[in-house]
Amino acid sequence: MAPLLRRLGTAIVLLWLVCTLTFALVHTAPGDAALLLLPPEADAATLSRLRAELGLNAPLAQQYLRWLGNIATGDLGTSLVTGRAVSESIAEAFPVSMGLGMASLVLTVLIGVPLGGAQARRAGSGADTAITVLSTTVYSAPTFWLSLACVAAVTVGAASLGVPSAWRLPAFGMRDPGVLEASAAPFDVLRHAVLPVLVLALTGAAGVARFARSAIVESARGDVRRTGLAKGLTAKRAWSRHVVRVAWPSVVALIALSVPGIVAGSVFVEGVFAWPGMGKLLLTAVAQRDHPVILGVTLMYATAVIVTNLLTDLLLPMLDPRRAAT
Amino acid sequence: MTQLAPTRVMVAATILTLLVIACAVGPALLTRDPTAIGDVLSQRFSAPLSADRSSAWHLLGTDAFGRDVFGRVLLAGRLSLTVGIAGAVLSGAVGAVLGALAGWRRGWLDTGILAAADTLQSVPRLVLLLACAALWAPGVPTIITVLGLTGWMGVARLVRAEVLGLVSRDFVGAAQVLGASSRRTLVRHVLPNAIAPALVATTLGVGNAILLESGLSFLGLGVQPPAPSWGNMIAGGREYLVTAPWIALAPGLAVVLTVTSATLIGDWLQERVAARAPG
Repeated sequence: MAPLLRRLGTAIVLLWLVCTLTFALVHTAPGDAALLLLPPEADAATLSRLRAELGLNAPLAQQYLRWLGNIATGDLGTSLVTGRAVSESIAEAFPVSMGLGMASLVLTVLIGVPLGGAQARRAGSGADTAITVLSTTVYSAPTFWLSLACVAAVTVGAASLGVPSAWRLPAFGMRDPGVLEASAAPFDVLRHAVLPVLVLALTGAAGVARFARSAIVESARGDVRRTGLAKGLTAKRAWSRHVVRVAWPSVVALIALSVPGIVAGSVFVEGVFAWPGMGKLLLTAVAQRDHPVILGVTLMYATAVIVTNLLTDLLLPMLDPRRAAT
Repeated sequence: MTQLAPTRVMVAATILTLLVIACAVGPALLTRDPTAIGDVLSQRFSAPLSADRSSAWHLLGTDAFGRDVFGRVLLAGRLSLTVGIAGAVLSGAVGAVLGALAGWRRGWLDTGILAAADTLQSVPRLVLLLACAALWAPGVPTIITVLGLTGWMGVARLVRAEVLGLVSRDFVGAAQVLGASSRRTLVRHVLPNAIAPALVATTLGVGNAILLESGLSFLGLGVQPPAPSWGNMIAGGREYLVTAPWIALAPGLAVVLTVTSATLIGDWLQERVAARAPG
């Protein structure tokens, strides 16, 4: 139980450090909330009144403690633009991003791991090289550019091929404005999700295939395969029961490491496809210089990464008895 | 030990070299200024491999302002490559220094550097970049600094691990017995043996930095128009995706070619270094 508690403690300390980092970011940046809230022609008296109201005149240490206290009670401040509570906007956007991210992660693993495994099996062959070059290319393409290409394909591309409009995929948004009946709504969201999920899953799978390939090749180089062959397993069984089994924990660890990448990709994907999640929220806030929202979303993303890492730490010993011993 | 690189790495290296030379020399050879706006109506939206109505021929067509896309891709490449390389080198240098200090000094410095690395790695790099770009004035110096400050963690961990492995080796003890100061031992004896993985990670970081720069510029937070960068060119072509897809397609392909080549070379270097490491 002790290691579990220690990891939980580390996660909480990390969260605190991330909060401190974001606080430091805001307070080293030029300008303050009062300057951003008021129109440029506001006079000095109004400015100093607003500063006092916002508590910006208090000593930095006091502001820091109050900000930490607010975060601890779930108060992330209010948007400078809309005046809504940041926690409210995030509570709305989070499930939307979560759905997109989870669907993409599942597809990423389902495509990436078998692909990497197949490559490792035939490591060095022409097919292996071809897939390496292909996955590196997809992995190297800017996500926003791939998304734009998809938009072009389903609009102009589909129209010029004569695809009937009922069959075409929607290019933007999460649902059609007219669809309100409960029975049609889920299908409508699914239709809108195809393209964003596809882009995220393809780029994710390209990365995971690269990781999985090298982890399995590494494992095949060790003694496990020879041991399997020596105890009389067929080459196929030695591969699946020994080589792949040994590589599995590192593949899982690397999938967890790819979560921040999926998050980053989803920011662009949500931006291009107008998907109303946290990425879209962040981009809008960045465009409007809406500090409280930027900080709230940043903290939320950091929390998601820290929780993922914590879960991976807890999961790995179950997959790999060797790790449980340490 | 001279082992020829696999074909894909040779091809990647050739493509990358040609791209760098084209971007470095190309803009000086152009007859038309790719940032100047001339007779917009007669020159805009000319398709690739065709002449516009003022009978000037364009390899990759023209954009909404009648500017030659090929010339702009080359000029933008200068900025995008510079930002990418500078960002990666800066993060590599910061990482090497911090990693070496952490592994050599140990103690509170080590704890502090590792905690800083853990903290920065808890926030997805793009999100951190976006937050910084929104808080500070956008522009080339800001991007390079922020790329450097958000990308050093991986290199620092690699160098720290290498230094920790080298501390107890005989040649380090020998240097100290001979009277070398702690600093001289670290800089002259330990670091040269610990730097190979850091160099590889920095090479791999170039592609990543170019991608991030293009993303920031795409969102209007990086290189500011009228200076062209691959990212802001894609953003500029976004409106004309339907009528003039080449405007967004060409700079995107330039990014893909550059980053793919850099990544293939970096991956191969990483394999080589990993294969040479003892144990």
